[in-house]
Amino acid sequence: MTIANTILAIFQIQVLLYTLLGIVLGMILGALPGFTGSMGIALLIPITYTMEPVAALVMLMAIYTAGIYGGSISAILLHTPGAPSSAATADDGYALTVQGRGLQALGVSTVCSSIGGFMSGIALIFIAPWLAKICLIFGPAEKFMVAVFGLTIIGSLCSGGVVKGLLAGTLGLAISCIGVDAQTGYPRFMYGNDYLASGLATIPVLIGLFSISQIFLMSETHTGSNKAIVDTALSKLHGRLLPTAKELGKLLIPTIRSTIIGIAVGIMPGAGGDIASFLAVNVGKQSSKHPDEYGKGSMEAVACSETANNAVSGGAMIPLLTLSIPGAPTAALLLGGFTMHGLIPGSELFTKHADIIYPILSGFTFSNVLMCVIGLLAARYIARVVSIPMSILAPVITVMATLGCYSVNLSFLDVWAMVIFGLLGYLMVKHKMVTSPIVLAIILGPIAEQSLLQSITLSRSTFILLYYLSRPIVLVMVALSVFSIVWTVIREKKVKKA
Amino acid sequence: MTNDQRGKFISNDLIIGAFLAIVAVIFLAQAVNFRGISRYFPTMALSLFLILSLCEFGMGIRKTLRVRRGLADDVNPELKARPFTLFGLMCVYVFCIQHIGFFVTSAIYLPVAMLLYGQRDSKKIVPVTIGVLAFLYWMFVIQMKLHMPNAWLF
Amino acid sequence: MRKIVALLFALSLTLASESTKTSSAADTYPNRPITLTVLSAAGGSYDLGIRLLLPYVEKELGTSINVVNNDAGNGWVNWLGCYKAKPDGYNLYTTNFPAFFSCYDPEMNHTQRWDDFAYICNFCTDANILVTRKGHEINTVKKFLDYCLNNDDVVIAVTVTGGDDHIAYLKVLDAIPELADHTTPMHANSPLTQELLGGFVDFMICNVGNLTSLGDNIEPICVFSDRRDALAPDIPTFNEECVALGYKDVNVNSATNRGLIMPKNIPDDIQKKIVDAFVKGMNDPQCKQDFRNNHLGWNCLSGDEYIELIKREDAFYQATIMPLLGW
Repeated sequence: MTIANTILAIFQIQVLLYTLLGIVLGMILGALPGFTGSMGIALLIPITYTMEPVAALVMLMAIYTAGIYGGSISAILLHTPGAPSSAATADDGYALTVQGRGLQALGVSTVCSSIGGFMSGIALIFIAPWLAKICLIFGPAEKFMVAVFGLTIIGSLCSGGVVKGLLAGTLGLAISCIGVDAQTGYPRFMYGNDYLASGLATIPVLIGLFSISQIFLMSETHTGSNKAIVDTALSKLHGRLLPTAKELGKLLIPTIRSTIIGIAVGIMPGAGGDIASFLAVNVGKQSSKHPDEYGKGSMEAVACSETANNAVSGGAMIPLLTLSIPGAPTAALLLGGFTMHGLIPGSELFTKHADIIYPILSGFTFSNVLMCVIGLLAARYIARVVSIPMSILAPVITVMATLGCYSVNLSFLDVWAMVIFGLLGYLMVKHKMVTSPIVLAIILGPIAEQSLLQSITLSRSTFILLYYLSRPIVLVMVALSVFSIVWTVIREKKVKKA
Repeated sequence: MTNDQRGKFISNDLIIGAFLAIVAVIFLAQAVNFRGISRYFPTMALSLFLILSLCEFGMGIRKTLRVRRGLADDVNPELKARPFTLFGLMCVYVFCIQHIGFFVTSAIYLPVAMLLYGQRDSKKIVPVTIGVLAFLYWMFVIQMKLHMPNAWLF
Repeated sequence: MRKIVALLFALSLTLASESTKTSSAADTYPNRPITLTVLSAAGGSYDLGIRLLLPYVEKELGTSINVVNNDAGNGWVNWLGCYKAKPDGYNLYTTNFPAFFSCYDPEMNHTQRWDDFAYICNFCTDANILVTRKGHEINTVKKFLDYCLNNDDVVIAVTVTGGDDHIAYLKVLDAIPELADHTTPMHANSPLTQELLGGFVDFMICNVGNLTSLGDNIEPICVFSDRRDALAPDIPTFNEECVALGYKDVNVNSATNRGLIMPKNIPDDIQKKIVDAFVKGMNDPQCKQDFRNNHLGWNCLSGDEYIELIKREDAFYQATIMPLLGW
């Protein structure tokens, strides 16, 4: 398959049109609270059955990557992460919007998302088989330690209140136990409600903690003797959209680092953009010259988060296409799309079906470039949403979020979860507690529990601690976890002294 | 802070810590009775939650005593009524969707909520209500064939 | 007297109009789209099978069938929906055996049993298989049994407790009890392909349908069926291999059987229309070809044949599987 043929294949009108459709649909679904690109993929897969494979699969993969990017739009402008992978962007992105720099935040998010997705596409095309081998060295013990390392990040998320942050984290761990336990089939904290069999869905919790809580906070402002709410616009956004060359230069190292983190996390099965973005922000904060800005409006944090979560999109396809192991939950959906079109993962995919797979992967890589162009062109118009008075925006967000949460499982339990977590999030923010540890713990809890119990099974008669200590990667993760905790404690002490 | 305020001060951390500790104990009592290995992780998580709640409680006691002794100043965050009113309205909204229907209920909720937030311009309220519901209907019911909840009305 | 005659006349008119209504309801059925709730997420093999079948059924019924994917509650939202649905023929549902037998889980408090529903047909049977990774030295049933019986704690990857692959494992233990002391199942929410390929576990039980997506990375050892699977005729059955090794009375059949159900008490005429449409649709040669092309185990069972399968599975589950699960 020559490069010329590949380029010809992706620049056919049909493929280009479906790529464009995928990007726009992904951005819209990603931006709407409660809806995700995954929903779009799930609904469109059956429709793509009659389509030509290159067009079909490029469209689906474009929805994937654009859906992740779209989630950052509402996260930045409205503190409403459109998807779990944008949760790490919400605090800094929204703080920038309140400061009037939301347009730049959108610009940085657009460019960095595209870079992350593009680089992961390049990795997917050229070095997928070698990278796939990395995922095979992670067994249950390693995955447990990765989850533990992810949980130690919670400490760094809570500035000025480690106890409160850990309290939120352990609450998230407890919530993650809801549902039928895979090991024993025992229903935990379900109280007879079948909708809880798979646990509380992440999206309603996310929307509640970030978006609905913000709506409650906004409603506090009132003035005048009649206590009417001042009908103010959130902010008038001003300034540049695209960062200057100097600003981009400062963001270069965080972007490169976050790309690598995103691809690495994407390769690891089960870990998605949500984990990658939190991890990238944490590493960015540890390496930054201005760590105190993180959480209060750091452009670096936005760059780290958005690069990493889009880099996951290509990274997750690496084990999927080589070993049939989905690197992220959305990749599992895409597997159905590939097999439906007769593209079976494995070595033959890149040889026997080279004339189809390489255009698909190239199309995916190119879609990130197209996404950047569309995102930048649309950003100024999209950003006008913050000029809409809160009196209109808040009820509209509530209605959309309600429908979005309902659509997850076609259940009102999720809607009620959104409302209750909205109140919880409001009370937490009022008491200076950070809400993101709950989300991170809900995502990592099941991975940690399942991996721990599996590693106990695999350790057989070996004492479990010895089993863990005999594994090199586990030792590396233990070191990283200890470093993460120690660094957090030292930083806290420095802040208190200052 | 006045002396009177200092004398009566109770840190919210104390109340939160106590409340969360009680919640932790209630759920921990259930978790330890789960079958087999399914109890390990919830027990561990809830035990940690209980310990941290007690730490929060202890920090609350410390803060309260420091303020009462005049060694520090602290204020509890002021909770206003309006967010709770909105919470109540949202609960009514969700309840009504289940029984009346999404679009009919939202057609009532949107203008009511906008009015509650202080919007008075009907030239904005009406088109926004119609526009949002029309968009949601077209996008999710027609295009994506989302199955709407079975209710009395639409 | 006149009053009695008038009353009888009115009564007979009412009865006549009711029967006219019933027969006219069946005559006009279906006069609007039908909703089919599928208990799996969109895009999976279950969903694919349904979507391959539906165009043929829509042609027979003369109306469109709208698919609603709802995998909430491990399928129980779907089953409870069917149990409570109005028996008018416009709301159909899907089912899966042995997944449905989670109704016997004493912790879940489900009172519904298999005979609380009316059955349309079974449309797909996906047999369980034992696999190892490509190139692994233990790639036959003989080597597998020898390895297990000469070692302790041989880990076999399955998915959730009570899932069809876990049931297959329990059926193997029932057939060869000595294996219980030498093997341990390892559970997960999704197939442990990575652990298998990474060398953390050596054996996994999955389905014939997984062979397509798992590609050339795995090697099947045997299929748990009474005869070789049409989609994978080169894979020997566990039963034939055990018999050859001298194990008597080994008859391990394990598969996931995917079917369609409807609420009970739908008028007989309408029920018959529905069943006939689905069976005709399933038996369309092009439909069979579509299933083959997509590596789905076409298996159309309806009426008494389907009920007999369910009864057999139910009896075995209650007698053998439930005690092993501790229920």
